[in-house]
Amino acid sequence: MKPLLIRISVFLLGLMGLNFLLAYALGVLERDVDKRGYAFDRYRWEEFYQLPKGDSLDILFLGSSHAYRGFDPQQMESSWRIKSFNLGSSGQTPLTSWHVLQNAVLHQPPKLVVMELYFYTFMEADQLNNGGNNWLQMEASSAKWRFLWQAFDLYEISALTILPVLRRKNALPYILRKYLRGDDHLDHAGKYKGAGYVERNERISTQQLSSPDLYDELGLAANWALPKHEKAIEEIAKFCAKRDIELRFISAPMPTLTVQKIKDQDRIDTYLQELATKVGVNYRNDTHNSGLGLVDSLHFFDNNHLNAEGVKIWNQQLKEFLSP
Amino acid sequence: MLFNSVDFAIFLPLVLLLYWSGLLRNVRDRNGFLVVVSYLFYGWWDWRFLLLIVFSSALDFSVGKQIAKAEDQWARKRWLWLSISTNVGLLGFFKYYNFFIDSFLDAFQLLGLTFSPHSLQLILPVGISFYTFQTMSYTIDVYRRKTEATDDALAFFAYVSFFPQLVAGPIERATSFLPQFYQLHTFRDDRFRVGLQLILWGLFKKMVIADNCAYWVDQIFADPGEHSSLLLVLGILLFAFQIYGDFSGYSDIAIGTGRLLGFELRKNFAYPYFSRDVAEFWRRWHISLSTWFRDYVYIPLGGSRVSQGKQIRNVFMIFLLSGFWHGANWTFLAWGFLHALFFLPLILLGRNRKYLEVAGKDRWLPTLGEGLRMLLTFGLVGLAWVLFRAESVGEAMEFYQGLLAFSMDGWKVQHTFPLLGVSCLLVIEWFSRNTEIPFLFRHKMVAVRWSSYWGMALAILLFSPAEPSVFIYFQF
Repeated sequence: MKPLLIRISVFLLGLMGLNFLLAYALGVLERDVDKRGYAFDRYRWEEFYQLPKGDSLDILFLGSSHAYRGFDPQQMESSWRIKSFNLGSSGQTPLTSWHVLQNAVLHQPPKLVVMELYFYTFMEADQLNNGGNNWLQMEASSAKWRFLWQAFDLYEISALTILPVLRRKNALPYILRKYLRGDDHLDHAGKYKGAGYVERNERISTQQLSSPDLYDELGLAANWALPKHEKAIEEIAKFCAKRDIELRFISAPMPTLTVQKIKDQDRIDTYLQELATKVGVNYRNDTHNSGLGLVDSLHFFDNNHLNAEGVKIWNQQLKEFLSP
Repeated sequence: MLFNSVDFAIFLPLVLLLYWSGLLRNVRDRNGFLVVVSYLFYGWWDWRFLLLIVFSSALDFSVGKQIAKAEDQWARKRWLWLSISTNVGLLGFFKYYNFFIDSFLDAFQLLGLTFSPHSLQLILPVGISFYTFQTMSYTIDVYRRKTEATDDALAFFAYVSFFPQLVAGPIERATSFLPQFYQLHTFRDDRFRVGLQLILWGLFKKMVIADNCAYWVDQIFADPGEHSSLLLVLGILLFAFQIYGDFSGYSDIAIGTGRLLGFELRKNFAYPYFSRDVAEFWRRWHISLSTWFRDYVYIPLGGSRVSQGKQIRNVFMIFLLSGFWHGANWTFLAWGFLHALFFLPLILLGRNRKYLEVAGKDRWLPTLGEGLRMLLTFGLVGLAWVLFRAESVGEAMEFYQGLLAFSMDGWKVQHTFPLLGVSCLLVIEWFSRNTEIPFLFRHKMVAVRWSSYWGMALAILLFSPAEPSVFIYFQF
């Protein structure tokens, strides 16, 4: 039995080594060809940890790409002298937001937390992409380990710890596209402007907005929001109340043409409003973008995100909502 | 619990550690342990499923003893029919109830009569078709005096619930498998090593080949009308390898896991896509089910030693039953019917046992004739797979119509990726066709062996989907 056990151990050790080597190689290639929003997590957390520990922030923004492409802390600071930071991230689910908040307060406790609510993130079962990239950038703390055990399943924990190739392999299609077809996703990712905000300047045409996309197909199940995300919202509300942190919910503007495509938008609006009421949090729903002065073909760069011009217009209208 | 999940990757080493630790010193302890871990494995899906398997095991254990005890033939037969009718009844209820109700409603609707449906929306217990057949084989073999009725309840319960093959076979026979639960297995390096190799190869076939083919197959079969004939052919090809990689991969993992515990499970696949006619295909595909039907249905009906009319009846019966065993859908019946049509000329001409040896025996490559016959057989089997995969017969017809359009557009460079995987599988299998495990694992050069271990393991990590996908045969 002993020689066999030695052989099995050699196999497993070799596999571990190769897995780390391959993950490293994929990481290097990924950095070259593709940001997909996830590399911004690294910039974001690095900058966040450079802020002096223990100082307090006026506002901490949390949420999906609608948050990190929608709230510009630098603009807010120059306009209203508000010190804020945007820790939104691609597809950030409420469960991830809950753990991002717990880790963030250890470094810079905020006076106000503004959490962006995007219905899609409530349906996301996978935590690896949206949560994993945040987890990897966080400084070691008990809150970080709690995040690992509470938010991820066994597969995701393996991918984040001993089998990084499971995480890195997501970049494979982008790497292949880059080297086989010269299609570089880096071109589409946007520019990291600081304090967590990422800017895009392009405009989407009405014709592009009218063409079929995922929103056309979308049909929500009866219980479309996952209980773990609902629970996370409740935990966030309790956590903030306990620490005397003001909490507000907001949904970012979407192009009118996109909103019209979403058959269940009324159900979504009702659900999010009821959720906010249930946890006693003020909720501003700008999804329909009515009266905001935003034009689909001028102020959005794709079918669901504001461009830099749109962000300027929207953020200026949030002064009252963001004031303590 | 799925073989391709992290749960199983933790479960199996723990089971092995306890099993071989020396804490379980006798056969009884080992069997008790196997029953507990097998029920844990099975209950992982839904603990309620356990009630059914416990009932089925208890029934057939008692019936086996009653048959052995009964003195007259009539009493023996009564006990046997109790076992068969209960097992088939349970299977029929859970698997076919909704199908029959819905089919009757459809038929009445055609006559202009409408009834309110009373389908129960029953959940099909995983693996019920497999373990039901396994327990039935026991009572039938006891009845036929091919095996002794067992007095060892633990051994029998372990035999029925043995977790490596519980949910999708191979369907074992009491004659060869039950006696293995009377022995205290000793740890053997060589057996353990082959077990691990089979598991690695099975996972590769499932997670790299089958799951990646599935991605394209799902798209093509979801809307056959929207795809060119060329892409429909690709859909057939990829589904053929999806189902093969999925099911033979499962069987390899099951056989490998059995070996890790010291057990020998029967072979379920023998390189079926290298078959030169449909009869050979059926000797190499899902062997444990084909031989079950052969031994318990076909031969009792007279097999091929009856009049030509009865031969035809027997062939259709066996293939229709096999189709229906797969599921409560007309598509499976049509699939069985088509295979019966392919098989019939061979049996009527007495050519059904023409190819008993492996193709290209003692040669590197097949002869041109062999190659063409393999291609033709694969083509026929592939055409039948359309029925197997389609949601309805109408959808399959739409697929066949699309094939006849002979359109060639829509090919993308991405379509070549799964074909690369399939080619890789075919090459490895061709050079391994005389052995149980891939030739790479038996290569005399250490570097080749170890590179293939690590290469396959890395391929599994790199190319498998993030969410473990369910094995296709679990639904049967």
